[in-house]
Amino acid sequence: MIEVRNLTKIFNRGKFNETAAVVDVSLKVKDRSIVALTGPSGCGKTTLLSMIGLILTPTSGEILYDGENVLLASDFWRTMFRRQSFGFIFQHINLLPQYTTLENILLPLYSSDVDPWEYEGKAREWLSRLGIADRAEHLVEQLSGGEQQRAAFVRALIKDPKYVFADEPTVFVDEETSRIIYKVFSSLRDSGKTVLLSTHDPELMKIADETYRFCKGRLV
Amino acid sequence: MRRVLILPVLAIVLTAALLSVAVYSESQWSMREYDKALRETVALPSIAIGTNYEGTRNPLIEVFVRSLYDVPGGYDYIVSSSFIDTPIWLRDFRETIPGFNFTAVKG
Amino acid sequence: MRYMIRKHKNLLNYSFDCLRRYRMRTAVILITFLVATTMISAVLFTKDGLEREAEFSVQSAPDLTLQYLKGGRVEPINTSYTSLISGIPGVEKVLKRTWGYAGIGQYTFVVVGLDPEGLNYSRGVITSLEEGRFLTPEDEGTGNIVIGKLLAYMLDVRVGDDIILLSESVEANKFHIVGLFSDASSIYTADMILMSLEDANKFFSMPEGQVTDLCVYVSPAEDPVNVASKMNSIPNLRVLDQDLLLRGYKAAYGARGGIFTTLWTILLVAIALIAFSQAIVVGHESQFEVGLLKTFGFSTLDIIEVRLVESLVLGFFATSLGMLLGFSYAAFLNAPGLVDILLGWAYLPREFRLPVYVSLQSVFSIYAVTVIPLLITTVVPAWLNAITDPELAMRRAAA
Repeated sequence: MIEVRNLTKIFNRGKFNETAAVVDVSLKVKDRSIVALTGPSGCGKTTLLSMIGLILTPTSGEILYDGENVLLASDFWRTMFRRQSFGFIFQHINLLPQYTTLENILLPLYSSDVDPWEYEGKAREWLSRLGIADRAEHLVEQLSGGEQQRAAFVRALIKDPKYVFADEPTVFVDEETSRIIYKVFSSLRDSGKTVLLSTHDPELMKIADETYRFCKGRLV
Repeated sequence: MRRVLILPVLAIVLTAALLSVAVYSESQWSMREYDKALRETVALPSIAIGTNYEGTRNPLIEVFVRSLYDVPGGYDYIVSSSFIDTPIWLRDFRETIPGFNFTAVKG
Repeated sequence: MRYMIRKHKNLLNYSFDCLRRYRMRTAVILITFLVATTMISAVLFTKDGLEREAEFSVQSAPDLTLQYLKGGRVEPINTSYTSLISGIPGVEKVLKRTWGYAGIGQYTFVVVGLDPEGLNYSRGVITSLEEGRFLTPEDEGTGNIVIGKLLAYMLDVRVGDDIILLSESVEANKFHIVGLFSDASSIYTADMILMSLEDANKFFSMPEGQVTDLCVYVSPAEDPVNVASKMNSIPNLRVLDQDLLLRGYKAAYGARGGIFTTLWTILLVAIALIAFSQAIVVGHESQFEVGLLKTFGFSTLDIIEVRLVESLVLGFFATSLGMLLGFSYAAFLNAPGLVDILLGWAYLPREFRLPVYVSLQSVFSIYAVTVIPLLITTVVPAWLNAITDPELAMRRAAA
């Protein structure tokens, strides 16, 4: 269970260009559910998602995972927590260009107590499920946008994380890929994972258990 | 061997090789048996480099004493040449010794 | 423990991959470091070798060298000083010496006339000859000479040949070669023509009873400086001790022609440029990557470890290779192209190789000015990015 209390993020605080990206947001995300954050561009969805995913420090507020305020923990502890429990899918995909698809997928495992190449089989299985098995050895820059997004999915899931954060996962992909993504999210929920995503996609919102609408950094 | 390992392995090998060369060179110089008896007999405190300019064959005696060349500012010229200026063309610095003009033939 | 090993192995692999991935940066650093360290090490190792050789020679020099000054200028010294100096407590022996330069062809040779008394001491102990024998007191006034390889090569002469040296007075001085110095002693003897004192005096047309300088040897129990201080009261006498000679030598070779300092400056500027390009060109890419890795759960220490290993591998590879090339260039090839600048107005007779001394001190000092700046310019930005929120680091990189 994720609980967010009075979360606020203000960029450039005290400067002429001060921006309140997220203001006093409180919400709850139940385990084994899909929660969608929606709203117009620039409303603070990505910022909120990043804060809950512990890759952006809030200006104020609390984030509780299973009742524990993780913002009180050290940076190192939060890093460990991210390593063990989180998977990220970014809006801009963020694959490293000079690596192959497979190498990109295995990258999150390099900071863990495992041999990344032991996960090769699992990675190929996922690639196969997503229909890009034949692209495993291709450099990322040789992949289409949809294929890259699917590869990013596999990268997020390779460590079998408890929480999956997805920022606009269908915004740059074609219909076919979108359909695959919907299925994947549903199956993740079925397998006991918690998915928190930001989206404009009505189809994606349909599969969500709960949807929060934002406007100008506030929960509507 | 994986391709990515080539550079690290070479880095270790080359560094080890260089340190070996350095240790070998240090030991060679410290144990060097040079022509001590000859040098003591000739007693010229210099080496055979720089003979085109007499100041370099015997730096102290020459730099500080041959500076008494009958050339105004000769001292400054020699010292500044040693420390500041960089001769680009060797021939510019090939000087003959005033008062001497030797030639040699096989007899 | 297993955790540590596995994880560090992963991080090492990732670092090595980065070297391959950032090909352009790797190539730029490699080339710059290679050129800079090759040049600097060739100069440094040779300079160290020359200084060591000079030290050996100075150590073999007389304890004190005496010259006569007239009007502040060095003039030949009267041999009557010998008895005066010999009477000073602590002086073991005083030898007369006449020496000077002979310009032959494009080269200048050093002509040394040796005191028969000194030759008597060295009878049978000098083995640095390739052919023939060394001078003995019996060679006094006979025109017998021992020559170095340079003159032998130039005139194509060997032991048993005669050579005629003509001076400005057009006086023919015929000499007979009795010995030829070996290659092993070339660093000292290549340009040398050794003869007896009487022959040298005649050759240089020295005034009767005068020589170039006097060599004073002090009893082992005495400090040469103390003995030298007792000579201060003798008018018109200049006393040079070994320490003074060595300082002069180091001054001449240590900062030869300013080129050495210039090269160090070039090296430092090259490193600074690399550091700058690292920070600017690769900065954004690296910043983004650090943010992404942090998102995946790489800790700040992991990031630093990755960048540290990467820089160490690159720095040590390039610098070590550069130094080995510099060493080979100087030791095996005699530093072609660089040697003229290196030796200034001097030249290098082909009869000997440059003395090359690869000291650990020089090796570590080159590592210090190459590897450490590289580490700082890669690790510090990585650390700064790693302590920034990953999302912010990625946003800034993308901006």
